[in-house]
Amino acid sequence: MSAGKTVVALEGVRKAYGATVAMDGVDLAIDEGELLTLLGPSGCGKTTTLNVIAGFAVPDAGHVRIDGAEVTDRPAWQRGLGVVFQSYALFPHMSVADNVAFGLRERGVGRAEAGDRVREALALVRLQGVADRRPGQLSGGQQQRVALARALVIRPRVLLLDEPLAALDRRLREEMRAELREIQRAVGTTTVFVTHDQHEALGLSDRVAVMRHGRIEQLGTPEDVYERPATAFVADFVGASSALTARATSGDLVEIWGARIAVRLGRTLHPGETVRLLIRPERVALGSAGPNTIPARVSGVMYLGDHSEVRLELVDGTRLVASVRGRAAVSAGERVFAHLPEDAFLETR
Amino acid sequence: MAAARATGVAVVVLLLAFLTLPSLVVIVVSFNPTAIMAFPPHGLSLRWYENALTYPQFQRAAVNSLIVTAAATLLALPIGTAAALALVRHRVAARAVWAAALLSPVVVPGVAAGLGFLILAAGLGLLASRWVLIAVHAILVLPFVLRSVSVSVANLDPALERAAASLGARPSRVFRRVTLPLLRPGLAAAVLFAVIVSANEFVVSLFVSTRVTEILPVAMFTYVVNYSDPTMAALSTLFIAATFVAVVAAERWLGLSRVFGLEGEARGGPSR
Amino acid sequence: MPGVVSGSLIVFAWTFSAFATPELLGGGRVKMIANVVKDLALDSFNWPGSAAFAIVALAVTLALVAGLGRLLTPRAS
Repeated sequence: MSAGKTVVALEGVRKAYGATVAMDGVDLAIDEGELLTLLGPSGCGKTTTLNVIAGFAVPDAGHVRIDGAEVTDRPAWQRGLGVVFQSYALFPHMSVADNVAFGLRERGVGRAEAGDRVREALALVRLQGVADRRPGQLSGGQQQRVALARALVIRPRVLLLDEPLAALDRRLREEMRAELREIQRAVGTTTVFVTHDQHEALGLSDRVAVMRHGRIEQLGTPEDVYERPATAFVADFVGASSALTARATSGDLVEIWGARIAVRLGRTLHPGETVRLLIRPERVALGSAGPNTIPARVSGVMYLGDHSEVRLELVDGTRLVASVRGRAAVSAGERVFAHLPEDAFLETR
Repeated sequence: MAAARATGVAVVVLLLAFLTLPSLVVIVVSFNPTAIMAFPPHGLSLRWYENALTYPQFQRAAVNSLIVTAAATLLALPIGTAAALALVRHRVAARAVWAAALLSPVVVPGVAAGLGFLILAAGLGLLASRWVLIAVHAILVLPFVLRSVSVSVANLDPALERAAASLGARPSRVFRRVTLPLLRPGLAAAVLFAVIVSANEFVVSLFVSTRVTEILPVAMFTYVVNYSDPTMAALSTLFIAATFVAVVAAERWLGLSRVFGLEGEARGGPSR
Repeated sequence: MPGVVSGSLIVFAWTFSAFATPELLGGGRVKMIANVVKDLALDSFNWPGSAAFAIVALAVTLALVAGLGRLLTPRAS
């Protein structure tokens, strides 16, 4: 990722479909060569944003610029972008080779050169030997690669991917995730990736834009978004978290149901104020009484192979989730002490 | 139990007989050597086929039928396709009204339509022209074209056209390289329906034809009213055979039953 | 049941306007409304009369089809 020039710029973009506001004033600058992910739940506006960049949707207000040029009203076919759709949208009446060559033929590239570039593109996505088949004869994973090859072969200015891995099963999805990243790095194309899967977002991206209700709640690197979520929504959507309400007793101490917990929130607390805190499961440790611990009862344990989810209940029923490696040493009904490190807290409004 | 089943089978056989016997009788009678429509026939002869095929009015009417059907189909196809694309894809204002209007020829009684067209054409001074007939047929055939093409349009993933656009194809290219090829099944079915409906159209054409422009079914009617020899049976048999071949071919090549909704997704509404 | 009703109405509407069958089988004596329309128009040149009958046929058919639509509109039940 280069802190380079802005390739795609969205300024104050608004888009509504009837009474539904899909984009509510989106500002975004995408840099040369980076992979930026639009992450959010369904209905947050991420796909609409992609469609606006691609030219499939015209904004009601605001500007879209590519390389500084105003393209807000320019139709999709004049934007020189590559798109991979969630359904792949491969032309069923054409062979794989013709599918991939489609964009080249539209640009007037001759048959011979097109043939070479198609071969190159299929090799890039690791899909050889299927050039003469029809899309209907390919597996989901193969179709996805063809869709990617088709979008990349035209050397687009920007590559747009609309939840391309959503239709794949878990195994394939994780494989493709890594490959996609490799390919994007190798080719260096500026890429916008849309997904609702936060693992994908964290693993693939140079930067992540977390969206909700048509606005970007936070834009930053995967670490920024995970470690320093700007809002409760971001904290909860990217990774899990448990919410705790505490009362401050001094500048850096709070009280949660009688337990004294030191917190480092980056600001001084006013004694008596109510503080809403979030803590991630992997920061909660189970052990014996000590500083910064709180008594809890184990309400359930879920063994997930590489880690276990231990669900705890505080005195008042507040839920707290702890994540431990491998098998949990506790079982339901036990009383334990949960250790909450002072730097593990996030404050939320 | 066996009695109930036997009764069921008997009922079905009787119904099938009721439906097919008229056609069978016609076919059989057409071979009668004498000039009466005798059933059972007194022998086998092809003279009525010869008569039917050489009768000048029939020959003229057959040519007229070809011209009118071809022209009406060519006229209705682009209109029906455009309407299908508009109605299925876009939120057209008063969509229901448009759909109802475009499908109305199926509902309006033939005589009412025929009378209306006759008066309108006469008022415009166009009655002697073949174009009236072509226009009328195009209108009558349009609902079937619209229905058939709409099925294909509904099955066409809009993402495909967006993909083509994103790859640099202007809208006319998208239509030519992606939309049209994928609409082919619906278009083929539309052509078939249009041809069958137009070739058999009788009532409305009766009102709007003249002796010169009349199409085959009208010529046949005029003949039957005046003469009662097996010529009509012969011509009818030829008609039945042609339609039979067309429908069987369509089912083989197009999977016609799907468009009719007999297999696959269920569709409501009449398809006369 | 809705299928039976809709089918019946369609058959009724269509048969109501039948022309060729009564014309050929009716022997000139049995006339249905469509035959009357044709006689008045093409044989007697009584356009207004013919039109009147045509409108009646149209009205009955439309009433059936429209009634059909209302009948088949799914009601929250």
